[in-house]
Amino acid sequence: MNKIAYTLFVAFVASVLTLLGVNALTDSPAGDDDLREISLAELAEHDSTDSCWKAIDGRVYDITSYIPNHPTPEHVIADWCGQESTEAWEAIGNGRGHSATAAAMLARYRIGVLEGSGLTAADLAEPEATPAPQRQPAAPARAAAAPSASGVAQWADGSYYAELEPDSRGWIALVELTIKDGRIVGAHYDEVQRDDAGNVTGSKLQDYGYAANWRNNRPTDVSQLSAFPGYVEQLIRAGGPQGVDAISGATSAFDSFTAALELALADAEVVERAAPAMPEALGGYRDGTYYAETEPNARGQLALIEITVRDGYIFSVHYDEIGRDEDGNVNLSKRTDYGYAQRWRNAVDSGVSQFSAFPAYVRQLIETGDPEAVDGISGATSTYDWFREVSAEALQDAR
Amino acid sequence: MRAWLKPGYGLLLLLCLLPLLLALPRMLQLWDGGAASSLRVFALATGILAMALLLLAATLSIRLPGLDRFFGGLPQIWLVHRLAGFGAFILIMAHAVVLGFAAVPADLSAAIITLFPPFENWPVWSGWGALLLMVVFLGPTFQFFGRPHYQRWKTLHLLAIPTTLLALAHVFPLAGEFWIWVVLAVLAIGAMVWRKGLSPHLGRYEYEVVGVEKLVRDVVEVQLKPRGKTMPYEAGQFVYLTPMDPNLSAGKGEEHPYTIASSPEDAILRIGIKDLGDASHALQTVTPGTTAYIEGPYGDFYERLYPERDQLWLAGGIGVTPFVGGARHLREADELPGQAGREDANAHLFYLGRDHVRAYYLDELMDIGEHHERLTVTPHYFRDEGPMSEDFLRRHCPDFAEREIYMCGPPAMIDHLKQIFVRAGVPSSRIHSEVFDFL
Repeated sequence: MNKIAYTLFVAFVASVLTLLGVNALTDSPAGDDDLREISLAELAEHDSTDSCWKAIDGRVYDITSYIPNHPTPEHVIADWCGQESTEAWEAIGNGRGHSATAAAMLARYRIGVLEGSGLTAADLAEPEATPAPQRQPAAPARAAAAPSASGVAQWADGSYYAELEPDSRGWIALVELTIKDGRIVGAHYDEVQRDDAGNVTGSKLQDYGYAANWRNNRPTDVSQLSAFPGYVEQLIRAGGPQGVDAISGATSAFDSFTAALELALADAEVVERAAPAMPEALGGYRDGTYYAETEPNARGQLALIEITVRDGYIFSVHYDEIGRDEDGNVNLSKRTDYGYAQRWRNAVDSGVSQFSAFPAYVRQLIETGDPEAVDGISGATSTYDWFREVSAEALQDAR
Repeated sequence: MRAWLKPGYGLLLLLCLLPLLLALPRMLQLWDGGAASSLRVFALATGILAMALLLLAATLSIRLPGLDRFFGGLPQIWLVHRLAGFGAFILIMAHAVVLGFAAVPADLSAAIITLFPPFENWPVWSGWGALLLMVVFLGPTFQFFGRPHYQRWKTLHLLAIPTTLLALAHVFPLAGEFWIWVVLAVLAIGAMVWRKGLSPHLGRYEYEVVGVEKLVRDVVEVQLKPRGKTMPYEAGQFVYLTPMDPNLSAGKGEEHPYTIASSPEDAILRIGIKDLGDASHALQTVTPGTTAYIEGPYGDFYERLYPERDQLWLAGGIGVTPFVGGARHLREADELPGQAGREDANAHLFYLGRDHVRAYYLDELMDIGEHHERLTVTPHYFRDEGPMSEDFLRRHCPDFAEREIYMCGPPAMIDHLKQIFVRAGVPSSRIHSEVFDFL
């Protein structure tokens, strides 16, 4: 036992020393070159995959040879060639930044410092391999003037839609909201990918893999699956963007959400109106869960609803419009269909799609408790008819 | 082998593997089948197992009288403690090296940063601190630099305490599981607090040296009388003795293990001590009237797995001490030591010595043997007979291979006798042996 312990200890020391030695030999800095000052103009000349320089944190890197190895589509990394790219470097992974390993790799490509950065040899001796600092949750300044839940209406009734420019990884933040009687009654927020034809090819709200990946890489429990609805819920309750606070662990989504909201409401007509009163909910239903669906229409589509009643009041509602194939399998669910939403918005020429219309009807039903009290939303009237019909039918059993 | 069947080891094995089991889902999630992630998972597993072993080794240092029986006696616990420490040491090194190499596919400097990160990442450095301390205090244990001096080794071994704390500071921020480490840490820290902080005050009995009887040139029997409470014990057990005699040339205030030679019925606690090192040399002339602290008793020398069988005793050198205790118990209580078996069960003691000149305690043992038909004593002198043989055993004790066998003596003697018994077809479960080597 003693000999084994001794032998393995010697082997251990040798292995670590080898690792250190090999690293020292391969990673020796290129001397004075490290401090060569590179101007923005010179940087800008190297703006292609043939010669790609980037400035990050005052240091300039020639990453030309690395581009083929980067784990994203090439344009994600190549778009920033010849530019100051600190923001892009830190923005990946929704603000988490690159890993320590990536930072260590980056250091190998350093060719100089940015002119005017003021970096010295001592600065460069500092490890670059610290991951980008995690962004702190945004300061609560915006929340300071948060209105009460009844919310003073500021915008004319209608539905509003906006999407942001793609971020460095191609994700497009989009928001759709419906305002009724001055209140935001339905909203939808998602971050999606589009192909060249504009078709949605990825949706974070529907991407469980993305959520799992995100959770595994972060010490928080939040993923977009609850963070996005969390922002939407805050928006509806607060009656406006002012009352929405960042959720820890989802701060870059917060930035995108508020930016998209601002864009969506930029064109909205502002009207003066007294704060609407919350309608008194109709109760007296029997507790339980009630389901109903309509007859299929000419295109084979139908509306379905599931209503859960608790303590006499409507507690939760699921509404969708679906299509079924000959075997009865669901082959269309409008709730999750971006293609349908896009076509619908184009067709009716209003901001609304099922993405905010469905939740808006659902919310009205929960708040009023009465299908008759649910008001129609402009641009979503056929859904309105179906919703009233199917919810009344389901609730018949609850009387 | 019998010690491994003890219930204590089942519990230990469970506690050792539990952290690994709890971390299994996390490791599987991490594993994508690639070389780098395989190495990472391996590094994680070795780290978790090493930490569990380290904490269990610390827990096993508790030395609580009575508890050691669940683990087959204190010598057996020390052996397992040593194995656990050894395992932890090897696995920690594997953990660090493999963790480094797991980052190499990404980048060589990433490997360096994994192992030697900026200081903000202090948990990694506290892991290194623990390993460094471990090398310092285990170096002598594994005799990297030759056989160590007992007391210096023992003092150096106190570094195990900061090692454990540093290792915990490494594990808690980095490991995913929390509660299992709390449990193991509480056990380990509790054991260390008892052993080094409380037991010197709460676990010791105060005795007075009332006599020192010289048996031969380098062996004495020290006789002690309790000043306060009497320590209850069974024949063949051992104690840690801390002499406080200011005149001692060495070992004053140091604790060393010695075997009890008296019978539990005796009002005087008698301890056989052979001059084997500085401390035991000094004890040959310990002053009567001085204080000595006793901690114990430990061990389960006369554990009976076959109480119906007769006993075979084999003593060599100072290893005769537990048998002296056993024979005296027979004389004073008229029963064989250990669990009561048949009324007429008897014991046969072979006293293995160099020659009759050095056969200490033999006269008393022969005297007991003559007055008690249940004990037979046969001396065997190397100078006259050569090494002990199966033939000699059979001549004096024809049914020796049928008996439950107890041996105590130098390691070479034990090895030699074991071979004889294995050849004679004695199952190892029927052989008890105690070697006092480096406790």
